[in-house]
Amino acid sequence: MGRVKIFLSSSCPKCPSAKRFGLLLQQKGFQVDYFDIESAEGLAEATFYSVKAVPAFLVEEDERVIGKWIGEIPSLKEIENLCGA
Amino acid sequence: MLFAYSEKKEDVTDVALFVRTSEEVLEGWDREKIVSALLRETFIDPDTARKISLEVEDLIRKAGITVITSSLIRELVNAKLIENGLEKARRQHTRLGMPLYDVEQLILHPNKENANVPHGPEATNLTLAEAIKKEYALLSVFSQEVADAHLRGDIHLHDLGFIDRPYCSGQSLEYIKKFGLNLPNAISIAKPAKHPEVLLAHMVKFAAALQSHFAGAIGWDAVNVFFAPYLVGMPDRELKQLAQMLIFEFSQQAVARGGQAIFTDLNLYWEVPKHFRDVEAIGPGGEFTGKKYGDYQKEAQRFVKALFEVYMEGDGAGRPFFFPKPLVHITEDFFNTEGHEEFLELICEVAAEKGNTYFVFDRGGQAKISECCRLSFKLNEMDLEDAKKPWKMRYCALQNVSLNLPRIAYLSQGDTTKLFSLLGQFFELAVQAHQEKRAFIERLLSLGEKGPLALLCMDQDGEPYLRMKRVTYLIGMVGLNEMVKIHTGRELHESKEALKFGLKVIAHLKLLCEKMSEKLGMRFVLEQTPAESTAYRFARLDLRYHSPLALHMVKGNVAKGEVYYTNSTHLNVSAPINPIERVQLEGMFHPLIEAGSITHIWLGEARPNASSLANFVRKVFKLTENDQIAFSPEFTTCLECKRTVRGLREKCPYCGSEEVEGITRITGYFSKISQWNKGKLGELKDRFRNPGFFEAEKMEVQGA
Repeated sequence: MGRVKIFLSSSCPKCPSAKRFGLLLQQKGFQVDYFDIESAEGLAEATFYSVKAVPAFLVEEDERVIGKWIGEIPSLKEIENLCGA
Repeated sequence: MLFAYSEKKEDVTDVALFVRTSEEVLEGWDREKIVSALLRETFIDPDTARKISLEVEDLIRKAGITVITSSLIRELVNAKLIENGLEKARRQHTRLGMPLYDVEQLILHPNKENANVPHGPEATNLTLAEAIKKEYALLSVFSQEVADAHLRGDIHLHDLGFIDRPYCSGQSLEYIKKFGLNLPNAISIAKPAKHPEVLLAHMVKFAAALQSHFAGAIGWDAVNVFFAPYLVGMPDRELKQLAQMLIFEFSQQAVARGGQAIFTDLNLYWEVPKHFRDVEAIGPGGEFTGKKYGDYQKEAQRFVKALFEVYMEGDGAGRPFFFPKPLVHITEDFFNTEGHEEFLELICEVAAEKGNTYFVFDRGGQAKISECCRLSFKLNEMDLEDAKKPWKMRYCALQNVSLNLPRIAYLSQGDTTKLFSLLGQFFELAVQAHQEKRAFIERLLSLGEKGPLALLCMDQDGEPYLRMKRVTYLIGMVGLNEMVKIHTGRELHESKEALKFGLKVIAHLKLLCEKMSEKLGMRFVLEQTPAESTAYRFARLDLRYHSPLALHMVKGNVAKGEVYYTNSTHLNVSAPINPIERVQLEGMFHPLIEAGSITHIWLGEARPNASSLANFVRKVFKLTENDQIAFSPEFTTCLECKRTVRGLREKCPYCGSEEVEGITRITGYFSKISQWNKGKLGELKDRFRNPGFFEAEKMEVQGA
């Protein structure tokens, strides 16, 4: 199953929903990592993946990015389809 | 200048001694002059001053000498101040200057700290003045904490020899187009230019005036666009002549300050950039022409093409022009503007043949003025408001302070928490240095048009030329690659983890800049330090303080003293990484570094095909985050037969002479290798020159 990276910031209006969606993904068995782009760790990770807007979702499989949503929240179905779950 | 003691004659002793003073006279011994100087320059009381003067007189009398210099007397007084525990007074009474031996060395041998300083009497003057101003800065402008951090090599305060001026600047031709040349202290005033040649003359004179008020580069924005209203109807031949005059004027200005060519950048556009398109154009006589700059695209394009035709030809010996540097802005609109294919081919031809072209990438509507080795002023909303009155577009970075990143890694000994804590401490020192420099410059500016920075105080448009509220304060970094290696065991290009750790360090610095900017109301921004001498200096100091570990970490040849750290956030210059990967990986750091970044692509003696480079430039714009790239070929010029060939050679292939001179890009500009410091010579030997890559690239394009 893919690993999901979620990029958030405290000032973005959509981010609380993105975080709740992350919790849902966790309940469904996805491994989810959260990155706050106002921290060095989060900003570095966002820069590495050219994430320039939040919320952002990245799905990785075998260290390869297979899906990317920048500035929007994907649906559960989109993520499940992508990961063949 | 040596100091002179006061002329008061009371309390003169009968010592049979003559003093050689800074007034170039021999005077009789007068102890009271010591007392006067101590009372004038320090806070000690008269009785203590008198006691010190007696002790010095006693010392001189016992030595039995008959002639002494005032500078030696000052040092003897300082020794007595120390003996008496008066360290603060000793500091206030310090004499600035240089040993005889050092002065002789400077007069006889070239200065290698800056490859843009030739050797000659003017250059010697510059170096001597810089030496004294450096000492003054470290003693008097900066606090001891900051000065000591610089001397230890924790941080580097750039251009200390130019302590009484700001660092670099971005300029607009519109200022002289609108106001003419009306400079404080000038012996004549010129009205706005009516002819393009006169505008060019004004530009060159103003640049020379600016060079003596800024430490570093003078960048000019949208030069071809702002010249355009003067070029309507000008025949091709005259236009080419004007382009030739502009380039030669700036490349031959090695007669100005310290014999140093003006570090000049020309920002150029193929299309009229969006922020100038609807702006009222200023034409001959400083009058509005009634048209917008967007209406002058054709003239702007003709002029920029003519400039590149001149760059293509090179100087009288076929060498690349060192200055002015042409920086072409590549934007989304560039690719939508008619004729861009042909123009891209032309500027790539120049890049392949001479290496001059800098490709500056402004993606997503970003606008900036680039200059120096990579510095750029990204235009924010307030700046874009200025663009409606382009004469207001003058920007300045007040100072640059670089952090020695490998030093932080040595000190933290593998402890990540300690590493980030030290990074914060070094950063705070840099901030403190900026506050201290700002206070000093503000003091000079407060003297107004009668002070030393009169030019920066001139007010022709309702505000001073230097707008202190708009200046930026640069935080640079040296040796991220070595820092990461010391801390993680891998260089930036050797693992994803190492690269991500490097990104985390720079992200941390960026966030610190934002936080501190908000707290202090000063705009701190990161810049990739060119570190022409700093990369060498930090490596040497770390060898002294952090060996044996540093012996394995510094780059270059330790036995020959040709040591250096990798510049800024660059990858190891010797790593055999293909250029597109290098541009991609190094480009990851660029969005974090607001005040400018660059990736160098070393070509060696290869002469790539222009179409390969054009294809490469397109890919870099579309597929990476890279801010700026430059291709750097190498050349050898024969001093006997004056011919130039590609590659670095020991003998001239035409006449066999060994009197040859190597030329290539040092950091952000071309220069003669004979003027490089040892660290940069070490780096030159290590550079991976991408053999064969661009031929392969061409084939890939052809096959596609």
